[in-house]
Amino acid sequence: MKSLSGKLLELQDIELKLAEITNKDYLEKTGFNIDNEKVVELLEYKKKLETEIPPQYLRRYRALMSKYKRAVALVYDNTCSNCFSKLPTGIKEPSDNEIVFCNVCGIILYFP
Amino acid sequence: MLEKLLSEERIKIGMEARTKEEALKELVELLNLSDESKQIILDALKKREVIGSTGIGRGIAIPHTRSTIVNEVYLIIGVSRDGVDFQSIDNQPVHLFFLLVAPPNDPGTMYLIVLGKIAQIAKRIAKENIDYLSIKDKKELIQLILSLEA
Repeated sequence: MKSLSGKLLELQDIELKLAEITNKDYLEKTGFNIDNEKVVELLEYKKKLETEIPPQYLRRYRALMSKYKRAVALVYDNTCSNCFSKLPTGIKEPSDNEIVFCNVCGIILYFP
Repeated sequence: MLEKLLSEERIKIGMEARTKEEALKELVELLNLSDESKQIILDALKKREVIGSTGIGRGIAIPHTRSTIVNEVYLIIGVSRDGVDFQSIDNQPVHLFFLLVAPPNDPGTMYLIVLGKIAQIAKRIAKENIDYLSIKDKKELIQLILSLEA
């Protein structure tokens, strides 16, 4: 069972992938073939994943994606990898059903 | 450009995998990351393979993905003497792997440039029938790849 922040990270990775395979540069430079029927399966998986995320967090995810082109960022050395701000000492890795946001940029934090 | 990404620690000569999943796992294991991070990368790579194999034919595959879980571009190289069933476009087993993982936003879109370069190198290896399977030394393999980058 994935944590809530793990699901949001997976959703972001799927959206990155979908953006990539429709990028002209990507297809021209690499020459890879994409199976459109399988892309539909991936889209269905993404929809299913979205249903597993509480709506208020999904809305926040969308707002962050619009603002930063990403909504989830890793924590490295107690630092947000989106805005590079040091996190307050009180911020700890969330439980499976919780989400922690960066107190400076507001992005969803993922503790690897 | 590839020189910065090539590291002996991220090269495996003599892969043991026989299937696509085993091959991806064996290569991802070379990353110095937590088990959870490696699993996330593996899942992302597998999802990419579902929408179209990155086995480009002539014994070469370029599995790749962007993932939030990494903060820099990683290139992993694997050589399998026996070959791996990778559902390549020509249905031939894969002997040479270039696995690329990149963060969501990388400076100067290095990922796409590297991916393009690797695709060119792979085509050259196939076209010129370069014998990479006889290479036993990682340094020698790195030198070969760098010589083909030029």
